[in-house]
Amino acid sequence: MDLTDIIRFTFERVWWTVDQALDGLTDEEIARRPNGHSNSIGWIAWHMARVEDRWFQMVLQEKPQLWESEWAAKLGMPADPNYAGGGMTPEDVDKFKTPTVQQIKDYSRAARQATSDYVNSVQPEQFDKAIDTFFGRTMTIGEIFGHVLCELNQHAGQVSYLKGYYQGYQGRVIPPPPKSQ
Amino acid sequence: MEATQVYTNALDDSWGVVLKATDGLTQDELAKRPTDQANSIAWMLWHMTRVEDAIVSGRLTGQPQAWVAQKWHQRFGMPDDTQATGGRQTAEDVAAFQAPSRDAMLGYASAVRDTTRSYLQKVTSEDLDEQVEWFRGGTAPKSRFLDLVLKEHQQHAGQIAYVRGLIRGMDGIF
Repeated sequence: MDLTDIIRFTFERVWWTVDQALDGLTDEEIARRPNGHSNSIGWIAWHMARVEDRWFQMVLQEKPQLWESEWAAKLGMPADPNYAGGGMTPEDVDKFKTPTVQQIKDYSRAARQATSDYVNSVQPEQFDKAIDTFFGRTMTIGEIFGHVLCELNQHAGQVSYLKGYYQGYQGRVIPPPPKSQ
Repeated sequence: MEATQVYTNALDDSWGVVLKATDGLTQDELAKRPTDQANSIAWMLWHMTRVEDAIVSGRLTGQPQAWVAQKWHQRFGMPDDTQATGGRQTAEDVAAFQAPSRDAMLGYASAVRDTTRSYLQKVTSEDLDEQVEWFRGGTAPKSRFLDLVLKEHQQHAGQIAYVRGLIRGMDGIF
């Protein structure tokens, strides 16, 4: 049983889920919010890439985030390493300029590659190594993987749900018979 | 760190999300469908528990599902069908779903989770390498079934949290 296998498999499932959801959506659709306080598909997918970038570059490897070195500028957003969505007020989310589908895909792909490289480099004995996190908690590398996967899986589920919220069953569920006249 | 600990931690995390996201909701809120083609919190909680029950019992422990053995199906007013986990429901089935109380739903989830936790406490990482029959033919290691339970549980937990927000707005829970 290889822990790295479990982690790699789960990341790939998460990424697949998001890619499936983004497929066929327009830039306008991913920016849509169901009401004044819930997040859009685009915000959630952007936030997911930010989470990966921040944890696996900054926290686990003490490297600059891809966000800081390249992607904030490409997306026209603050290069602040903490600008990742968490803690945003409703006003912040209102002002958030949702990236395009292509921008999200490109940033996600870069973050995913960097995540993959990191996952492939971790040796089994390192999973128990303790790291100081920006939460003020000390967590082991293994615990961090678990935490990040839980967060990403939750958000991936939300992105799929929202797509269904807007588009309905799309033939994936047997519809009820038409009401009799 | 053992693989079994990674699974246990991850499952505990999403259990916590479910508890928080359903805390204080009325029966109407639990059963509310945001559109007539979107699932309610209650339906998702039932479904994710059915998946865990069916997979852990069917592929890992070989013991009868809690749905039948502990008669949880009766609390839901549903048949004792061990194959029914929600994935093949029609739109009519989803519309007809009657949610029992939060206590009953969490009672079922807790019973299923007890089985999963005991299983994870007893097995070794090597045990999880054992190949068993996969859903569509072929085989897969037992760990792959836990990966699936994790994905299901965490994704639906996230959806439940999101739908709480849809219904309640930002009420300070998350």
